[in-house]
Amino acid sequence: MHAHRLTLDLIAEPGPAFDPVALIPVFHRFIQTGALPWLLIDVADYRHVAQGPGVLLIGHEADLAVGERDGRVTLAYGQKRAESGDFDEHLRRAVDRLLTAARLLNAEPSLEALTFPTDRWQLTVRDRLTAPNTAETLEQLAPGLRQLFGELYPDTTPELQRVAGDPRRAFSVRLEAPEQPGLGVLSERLAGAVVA
Amino acid sequence: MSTWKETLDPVLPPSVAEEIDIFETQMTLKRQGKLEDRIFAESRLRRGVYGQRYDNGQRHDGLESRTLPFPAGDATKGPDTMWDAPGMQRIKIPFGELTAHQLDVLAELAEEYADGINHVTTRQDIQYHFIHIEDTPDMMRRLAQAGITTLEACGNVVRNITGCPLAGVCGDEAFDVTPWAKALTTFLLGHPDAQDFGRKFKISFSGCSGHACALANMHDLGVIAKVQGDAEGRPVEGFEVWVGGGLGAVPHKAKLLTDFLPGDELLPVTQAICRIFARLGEKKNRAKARLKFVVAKVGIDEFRRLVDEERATLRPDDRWTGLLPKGDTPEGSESLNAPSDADPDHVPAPFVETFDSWRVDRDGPSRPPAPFENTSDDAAFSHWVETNLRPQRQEGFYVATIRLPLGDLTSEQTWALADLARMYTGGRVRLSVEQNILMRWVSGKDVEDLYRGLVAIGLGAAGAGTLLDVTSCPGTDTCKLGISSSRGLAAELGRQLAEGNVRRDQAVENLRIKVSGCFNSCGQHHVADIGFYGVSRKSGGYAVPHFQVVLGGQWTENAGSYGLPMGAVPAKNIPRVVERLTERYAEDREGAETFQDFVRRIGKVAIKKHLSDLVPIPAFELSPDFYSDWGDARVYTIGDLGVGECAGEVVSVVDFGLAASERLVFEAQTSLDEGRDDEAGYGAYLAMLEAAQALVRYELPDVEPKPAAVADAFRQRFHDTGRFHDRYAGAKFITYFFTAHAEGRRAFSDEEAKRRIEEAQLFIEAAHAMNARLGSEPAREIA
Repeated sequence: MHAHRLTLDLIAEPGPAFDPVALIPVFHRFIQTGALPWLLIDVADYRHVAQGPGVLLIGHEADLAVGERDGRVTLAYGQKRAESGDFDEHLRRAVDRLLTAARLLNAEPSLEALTFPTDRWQLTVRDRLTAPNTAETLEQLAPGLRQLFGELYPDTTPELQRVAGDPRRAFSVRLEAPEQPGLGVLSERLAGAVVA
Repeated sequence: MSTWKETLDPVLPPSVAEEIDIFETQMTLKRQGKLEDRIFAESRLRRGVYGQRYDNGQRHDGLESRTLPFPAGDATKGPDTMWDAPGMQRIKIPFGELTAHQLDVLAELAEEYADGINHVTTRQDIQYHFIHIEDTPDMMRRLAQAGITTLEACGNVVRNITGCPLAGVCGDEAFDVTPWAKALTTFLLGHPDAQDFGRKFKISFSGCSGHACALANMHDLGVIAKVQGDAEGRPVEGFEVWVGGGLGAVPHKAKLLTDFLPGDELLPVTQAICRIFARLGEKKNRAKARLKFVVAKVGIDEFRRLVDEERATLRPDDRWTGLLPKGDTPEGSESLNAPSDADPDHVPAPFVETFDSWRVDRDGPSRPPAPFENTSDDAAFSHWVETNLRPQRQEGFYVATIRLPLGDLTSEQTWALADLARMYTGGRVRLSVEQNILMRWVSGKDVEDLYRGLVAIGLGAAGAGTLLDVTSCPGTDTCKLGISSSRGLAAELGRQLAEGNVRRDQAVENLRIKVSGCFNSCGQHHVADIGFYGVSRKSGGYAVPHFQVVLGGQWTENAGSYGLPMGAVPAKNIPRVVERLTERYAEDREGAETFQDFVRRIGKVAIKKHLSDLVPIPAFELSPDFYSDWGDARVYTIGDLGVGECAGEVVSVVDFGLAASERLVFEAQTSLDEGRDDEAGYGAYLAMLEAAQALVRYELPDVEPKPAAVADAFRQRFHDTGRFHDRYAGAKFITYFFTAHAEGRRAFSDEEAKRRIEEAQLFIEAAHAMNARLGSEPAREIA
């Protein structure tokens, strides 16, 4: 699989006090301080759009957004530009960067009400040519997904479920794990797996 | 691994595929350094591939201006435009009509290549933002497969031809302009006579003269449907034709070319106008290059003579009539299936084939008609019915307007909308110049179901065409020219006005608010009841985002009149400006007085006074919020800090002088309102002179206070050095001053005086910008 356009969502749990406007200064500060390991460019505010990307941190290789997907608030890492490596490497990088971003957001006092339970993810491959929304695509991607999420949630079997039903939609799969380890733990597990 | 090129080339018409391949090759040549920046830039612009803010690779992050280290390094895609910088893709949607399938494709592309948003513009286009140039050829192929082109979406060409979104279903129209707009679009796309313009050329089609749906008066060519009897008394479809209109920095109202042009002359006469524009239009000075300057220069009578003369020289082209609608069937026309391109010398536009999909019948109902009667006790639904639903000419059918917030629509919403269109409206929708979407042919039986469907996808907001329905250009969000955040302000106004779902007095509810990020008027602020455009002011060494308040514009009668600026107010006080103006209008309105009449009666002096306490800028230490723009946490353009002035305590001589110039230009406006046109025109010049003197005095304190001495010094120090020149507009604004100075006191018509006031306002804005730069320039010899 050579697709590189993917969006990885980490499902969030916003408390009643969560106000997405608080993300705007935080994202601008991320740009000022180079807080994330890719080129960050600007902040786009789509709070006026229902069930949309919300507040978007625009980058060169990827965007980061706190918005809504399928009625759930998510932190989304959307890769746009091709980097070296195959799909599994793109996915691994996406997980790494998403966890880094989530940890940074978790440390923001103004975003206390936004938490990440870490047991629900959604992967969307935004490439209808290479990854049509079919069972065959799932078959092709499942081994890599199982491998990666097996490293993140050892001794468990994360559940994969393709979001089927509408052939117009990009291929998308939901991943649910039976546990909620901390963001740091997941990062450590991922790093350990890379070293190994 | 297959590519979109391999997949789609076999199914696209060869000429279409080739055209996109050519662009891809040009991209390769550009990367290899074998194509000049300016040539490549125009080439991509003609395909709708546009620049975006920060594409010079510099961005002020609120602390300092930094270089964006793009991977492609110094590679460029145009002058001062970095290859890797996010850009914008504009997609032409002629007269705003989209099929459900096209909506599906647009949703896919927004999700794959952009930020998941389809943005509807004020000219019925769709725009994607934050796209990479290397993705554009595949985007074009996928759009072409759906019968959509990006060709001539930007650049010095005929832009998207807009049309009344109610065409064919409106009770007030003379006839349906849709097939005529299709015919002209097909005819002009890539036409050799429309390729050598100095600037863009905009055309619109209206079905009647009373409504604003297509804004004929503000287009280079605006045509209004009209039926007139021929010699035998048989009805002939034709058009009232207006030319030389335009908004932009200094708006021009269109002039009447003819009160009736028979339909079969529409294409050749337009061709003749294009040829005249290509021949006589300014090519070097972009600021003077629109058709409006040609018409203003030669006068409408001479322009009319030129058009007649040019028309007579044209070689006959079968498409002049072959593309036109034939017959007048109520819901369909077969005429667009007519063969074209009978002139063997005419090089057919390669992409015309793309539009085979258009050559089908007009849209029409897919469900049986039924009367609608609102029996629901749902207040939200009833409010929506009141503001968003209108009956069609065809009994039992209705038009539902979707009020899009800031013209934005997610991919998910776009797919769902396509499904609703398939189910209820014959599979088509229309985009409007108010950045909304219209669903036509809704059977009365389906109204409530459609509403529920729209609510489910977040598109069921009431308030279409009301105060809540704020229009905005992209502004500082993505536009290189933006000065203040028009979208940020529009979103904030939308939020505040909707709070508590307050129902206002009906006359207030019907007012239009339009916001532009700069003077160029892409948000159409000139034709709003209450318009705003972005400017900046300096306070305590900081730049502060402001908006000029523009009052007196007229939306109806196809943009019947243009408003004038009243003065600049800090951006953060603009919601209070709206509150004050609407409250005053609600309280002091006399009978059915329109807002324009109200402004005229109350007088601008009184209104300015009413808003005066909102003008002062609080010190940064007291209200830092005033120093950031709406929706943006950064301190506003801190890079514009002036050096040599203490924060907050000292008002420089330039500031005083510029304040005086603003007072003078306002006084010129009151002269204009009172019919003293000569005084108004001369007063506008004096305002410019005051601003020029303020800047000269900064460097030459002892300048002789005589106009000639000030003008000479100003020319020497600010014009000849290029210091005053605007980064994008060049010498445009400084020329206003020197022209006015050369003319001195003279007689002015109302229109001329109004234009001179607009020019003075723009010159003063440029003087403010120069003032902001003064301290940060390299050291100069101060006399």
